[in-house]
Amino acid sequence: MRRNAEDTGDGMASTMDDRECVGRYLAGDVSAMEVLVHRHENALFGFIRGLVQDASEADDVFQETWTKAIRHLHKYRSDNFRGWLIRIAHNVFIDRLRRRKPFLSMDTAAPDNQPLMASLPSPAPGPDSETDSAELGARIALAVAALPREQREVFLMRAHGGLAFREIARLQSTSINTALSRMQYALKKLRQELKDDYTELAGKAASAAGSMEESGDEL
Amino acid sequence: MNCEQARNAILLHETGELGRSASRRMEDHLAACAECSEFANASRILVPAAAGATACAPGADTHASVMDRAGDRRRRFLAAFPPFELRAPALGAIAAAACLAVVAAVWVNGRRAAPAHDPVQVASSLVSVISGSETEDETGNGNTLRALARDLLSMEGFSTDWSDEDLLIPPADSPAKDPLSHSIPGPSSRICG
Repeated sequence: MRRNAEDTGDGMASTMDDRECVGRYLAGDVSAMEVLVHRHENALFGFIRGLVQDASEADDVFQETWTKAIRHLHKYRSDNFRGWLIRIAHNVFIDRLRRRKPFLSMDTAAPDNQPLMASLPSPAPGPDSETDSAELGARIALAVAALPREQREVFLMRAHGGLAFREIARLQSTSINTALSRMQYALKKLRQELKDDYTELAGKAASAAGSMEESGDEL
Repeated sequence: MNCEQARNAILLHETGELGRSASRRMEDHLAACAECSEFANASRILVPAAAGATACAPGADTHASVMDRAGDRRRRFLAAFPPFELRAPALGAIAAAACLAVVAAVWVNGRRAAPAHDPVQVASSLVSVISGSETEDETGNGNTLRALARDLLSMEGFSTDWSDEDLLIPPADSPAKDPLSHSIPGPSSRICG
């Protein structure tokens, strides 16, 4: 059962930034963790589902990521909490790959020879969503899932975590030039795959940018 | 800047990793290159679109499990370490006790008698150095050592011309307490020949 992120909103979420939430949780306010989880779970789970095909495995990676994050919360110093979570999730994913635990990554063949991307969950529009159309969202998700693993990792770390390329390169144990090349290829392939939707996407991006500017003017 | 470099620069610019001069060169390139401008647009459009499209909520059970762990862990931690406000008086008392202990240790240490360096023993050792070195002086080291010993004796207020009796040198058969006296010959009848 997948929940809609809209249902989980909390009035406090809009008033507290991530650092405040971390501080309050460490001081004993468990509801601050509820805010953090609500705020970042969709992006984090989307990132994990981009790496792990099996839904229950993705749930495990998700839970392990939060468990590690909670355990090491007192060490959190970054200004990008979501990026920090994405880094932890990537490390959990790599650890599991190394342990060779029975585990289906997006590049593993499914037992019934069905394309794994076909089993992707339908994207649930959340607070971060920039697309209203579920069909368009599904096409984008399929195009992302079709990317080679390294390119997909770079793209998702950038898209969901907003990580710097220096950091992405470190996580992938590669050079920054390689990480940049992977991102270039990913964008080129997505542009090609989504050529029929590109005009619509460009229009949505322009209107989103326009509404952001308006709200900035109001402030 | 060629197109490959410009596209890398576009990506780095988006993450705030590009320096000012490289940003200027990138902008110059974009003003003249339609393909790279299109790449910049594609990045601006596709990255947020994909972030929205691939985000999905975990199952309700998964969410509940994470929250249970968060609550349990915090409750266990707070049970072991109550919040700082509650512990402040206890911490203050511990800090005051630690300060008192340090002051007491310093005071006791200051009152303790100085280490038992018998000045007579020290002088005896120096005399031994001076007298012993005279016989083995071939390389010049003996002179140096002897001069040093004389200086040390002078600094301690002893005259290098004093006799054994004047210096109250212990009898030759008494056990030497100064470690220096183990490695050097016993005192001669005169300090300086």
